[in-house]
Amino acid sequence: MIKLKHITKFYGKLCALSDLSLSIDDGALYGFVGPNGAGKTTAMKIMCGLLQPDSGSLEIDGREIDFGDRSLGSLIGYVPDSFGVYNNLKVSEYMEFFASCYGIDGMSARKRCHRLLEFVDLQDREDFFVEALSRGMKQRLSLARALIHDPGLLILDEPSSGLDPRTRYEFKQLLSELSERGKTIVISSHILSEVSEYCTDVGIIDQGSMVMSGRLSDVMRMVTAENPIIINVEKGLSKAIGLLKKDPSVRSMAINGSEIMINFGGGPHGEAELLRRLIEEGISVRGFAREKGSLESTFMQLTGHGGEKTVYAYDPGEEQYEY
Amino acid sequence: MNINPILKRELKVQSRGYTLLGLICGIDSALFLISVLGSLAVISRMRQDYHADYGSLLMIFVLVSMFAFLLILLICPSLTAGSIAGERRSKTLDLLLATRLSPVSIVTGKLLSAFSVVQILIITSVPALMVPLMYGGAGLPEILLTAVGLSCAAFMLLCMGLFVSSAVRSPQRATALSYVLLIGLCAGTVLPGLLFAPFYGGGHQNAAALALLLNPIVTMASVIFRAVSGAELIALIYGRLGLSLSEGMRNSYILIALLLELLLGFMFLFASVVNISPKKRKQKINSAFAIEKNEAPM
Repeated sequence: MIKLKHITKFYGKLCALSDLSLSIDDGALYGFVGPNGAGKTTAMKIMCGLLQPDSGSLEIDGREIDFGDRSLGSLIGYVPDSFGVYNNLKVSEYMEFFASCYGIDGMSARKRCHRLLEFVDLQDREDFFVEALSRGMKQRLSLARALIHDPGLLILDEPSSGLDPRTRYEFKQLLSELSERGKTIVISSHILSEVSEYCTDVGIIDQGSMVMSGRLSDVMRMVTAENPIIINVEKGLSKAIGLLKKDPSVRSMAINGSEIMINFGGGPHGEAELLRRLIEEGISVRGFAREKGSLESTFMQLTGHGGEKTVYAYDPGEEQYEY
Repeated sequence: MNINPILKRELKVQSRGYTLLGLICGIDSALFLISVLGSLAVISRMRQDYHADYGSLLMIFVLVSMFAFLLILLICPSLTAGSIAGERRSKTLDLLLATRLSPVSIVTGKLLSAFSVVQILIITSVPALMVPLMYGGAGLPEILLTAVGLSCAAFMLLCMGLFVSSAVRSPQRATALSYVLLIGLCAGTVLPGLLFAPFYGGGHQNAAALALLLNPIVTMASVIFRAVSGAELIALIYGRLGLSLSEGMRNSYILIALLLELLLGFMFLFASVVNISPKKRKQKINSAFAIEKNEAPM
């Protein structure tokens, strides 16, 4: 388990991280999400021991880590947002070089490099110069390099950025396989749909602070409770609109054909009450449900852009009421 | 034996291309040309007037040594100036620091790889220095002293380049800054002595000599001057300026100067390690925080 406790980091006067705390369980695939400049890379560099925080501590498997301790490198595999490759080395040389940086030399290094290149499907590129590899191949090579010392924790900073959909899919498969093998993976990404697809846990960071963190399913459930209610009316649309306009719990309303989307603040009991009243008024209701939560909408809400998506998901020419 | 991984990689990359081979061949050819042509000219004159002119043979040694030194002066800063800045630009420095390698290993690996290139240059230039030896010019001890002088200067210059490289992000800027620093070191240590010499008196003369101790050109010139004449160049320079040096300073000038070059080199090396160490920022910011913390309870 990795724990960041009350981490604060300043760059001059700029506060990059403010009292950031997070906890990642063993074997989790943790998605680290946040807008540009939120502090994701800073937090990841602190986890790798590349930056020292101004205050706070890092704990791995219950042991507090001293930032000058070189053994931290043995516990973590790091893939930065840029590839970080030596173009003048061959693929096998590149791997063997990093193996020697972890004290792995000779035949054991060669065997391990070969096995990892097989894992990332680069075994037939061993004698190629790194500069001859495509972007996707370089990214896979970076992943293989990060695994050279068999770390328990992998930290990947924006690994999918700039990759084509197929390469991204292949990369996702690799990460899922590693997760199944018991590796703890922390991954930052802007591609939220991907994070919600394969991450088990998620942390949303904004302006250096953690705004939400936990199991992905719990986060989604929490967010769904805040999502708008979509009411599908078969008969009595104008009656329904009139009723909803009078309800003080309805904060805003948008209409698209027979569908009414309301921003409702009445809680679960209020929802049941509203549905009962609609039916009692003789309105034929075909559907009454909260919009399913998505990581995108969560992200937008939590990072200060709430509501934008839900409103603009509808046709621009639609009738809209704002309270 | 565990070889530093950085050194191993750098040597592998260097040996792959023809740049290093071309550089060594070019420099050695130039040195040999000067040495052989100079010796032939002296010998042909000896045949004409039946007079052995050892002074001219020694001048060939001086010329070749100074030429080798000037080449080292020009090459060394560029050999290391781009090293760490290059790693930073290609985003590989973070990768190295995230491994078990310490900042000390990274810096020493970079230094040793560049130093090995310079050592090859120095060792391969020794035969060119030995050409006048055949005719009774400089002897073996003088040649060895010159090689030691060249090595010390190279060490200091490489460390200086490494230091600038660790402090600057762009390799080009690091190279330019290294040369600016080199010019500053050479000119800055001479100018005060020349400008203020008329105003010196008593103990102040030694202060001006101390500044010159840090000048790599003066140190190397002193080494060569001692090798060919057995006298001290620094005493000659100060004599011309109407100043005098203490006896102790005059006798140990070269030894002190060479030790100072090594010391300066190690200081640059230490500063480079501090520059790339992740702890550096923390210390600076923490001291600012400490002040705030002390003030807070009030």
